[in-house]
Amino acid sequence: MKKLLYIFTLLLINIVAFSQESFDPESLLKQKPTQLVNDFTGTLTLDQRQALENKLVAFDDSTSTQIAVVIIPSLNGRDIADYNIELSRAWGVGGKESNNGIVLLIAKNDRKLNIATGYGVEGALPDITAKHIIDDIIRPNFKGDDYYRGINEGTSAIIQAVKGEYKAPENYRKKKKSGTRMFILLIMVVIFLVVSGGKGKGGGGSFMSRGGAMPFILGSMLGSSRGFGGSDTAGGGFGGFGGGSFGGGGASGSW
Amino acid sequence: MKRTGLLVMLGIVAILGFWGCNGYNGLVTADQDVKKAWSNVETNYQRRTDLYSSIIKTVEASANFEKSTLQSVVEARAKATSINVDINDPASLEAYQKAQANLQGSFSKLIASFEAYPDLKTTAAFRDFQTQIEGTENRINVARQDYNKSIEGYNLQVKRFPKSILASIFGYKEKPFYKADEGSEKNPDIKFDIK
Repeated sequence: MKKLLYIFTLLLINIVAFSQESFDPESLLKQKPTQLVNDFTGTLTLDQRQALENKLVAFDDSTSTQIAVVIIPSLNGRDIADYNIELSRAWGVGGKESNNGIVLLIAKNDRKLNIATGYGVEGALPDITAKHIIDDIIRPNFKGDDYYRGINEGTSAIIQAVKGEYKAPENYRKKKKSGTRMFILLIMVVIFLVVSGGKGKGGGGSFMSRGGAMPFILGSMLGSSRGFGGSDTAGGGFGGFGGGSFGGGGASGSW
Repeated sequence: MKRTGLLVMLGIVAILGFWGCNGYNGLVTADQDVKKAWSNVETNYQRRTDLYSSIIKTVEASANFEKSTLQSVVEARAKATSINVDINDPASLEAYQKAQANLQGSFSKLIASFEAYPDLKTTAAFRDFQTQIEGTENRINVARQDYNKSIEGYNLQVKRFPKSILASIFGYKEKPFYKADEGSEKNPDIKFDIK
């Protein structure tokens, strides 16, 4: 039980440490997020994030086109277009072959936003279209402080623009899933080792009671692996970014 | 005894040969990477030139425009497109870079002179131009950074011992970096400020 508490405290510290106010855009480049909607500002409610995530994951599953939404507090003085290219390249949004990734980056306190388009979607979503989406769809909503609506309608407009461009290969979802399954397996092994290691020392409690706690720990561990990105889990079946590259396409705006 | 000596010799030759092939292939690959990155830079500059051309056409149509500013852009464009670059030759690379910077500079002046025409400034076509210019400049920036990265990888191979021996045998020389334009590390300040 003590061990459980210990793990839990660690998790808590982790989440708190990452959600602190001092936000460093550079450190974001080194993270590997496991969801498409990454809110580092707490702007979206859990339901809103979940709804967006579901929509984007479904689009990813059917078209292999990955649209990521990133909300950060501040750019620390960096140019938003520059930073977004670096970020989307570092994360590798989109497929490696088709480079069909799109990143909608919102710097909330700077009141700036940028859409970065991967090499493969520059044709379907030209800079001008991206600019229209920003200016005509997202900006009015952001001006009225309706961030969710702006992002929701904006991503819908992006989907509308690129939906005919790519089709997911038949084994697309399966391929991504196997990676996740391996990950879960690995965690289960680790947990088993931790639990059986504790048995020797503690001695109290039956094995069954430990087994009963396992799914719980497993769940929280999985949750934390998503939480490492800094924001809370949004669930869904997103299987990770594919290594797509970006060449400077897209548009910026402010509100 | 002689036989072992021969075998050892043969072994060394085989290892050397293997290393040589491997090293040579590495050089070829790095050289190809540089070429690819460079063609990307050129493509993006071409894209910008095309974009400028279409803007110039639009501006020319609105008759009462300052002809001298327009003229200097047209001239700079002609000069920039006439240069043939050899990326192995630092002088030609620099000339290319200067011509492109010059074209960009004179175009900025043209844009600045638009300020006097508020009707023009607020048209939707103009906003689209602004977006396209921004996107093109971003692409040029990225392409140039990628190019320099590929040069870095290539130069390391060419200069580092012992591969440098191979490089000099096969005639691979160090290539120049693409330097940032003087006075403009980042995007040029072409701004229309359409609100």
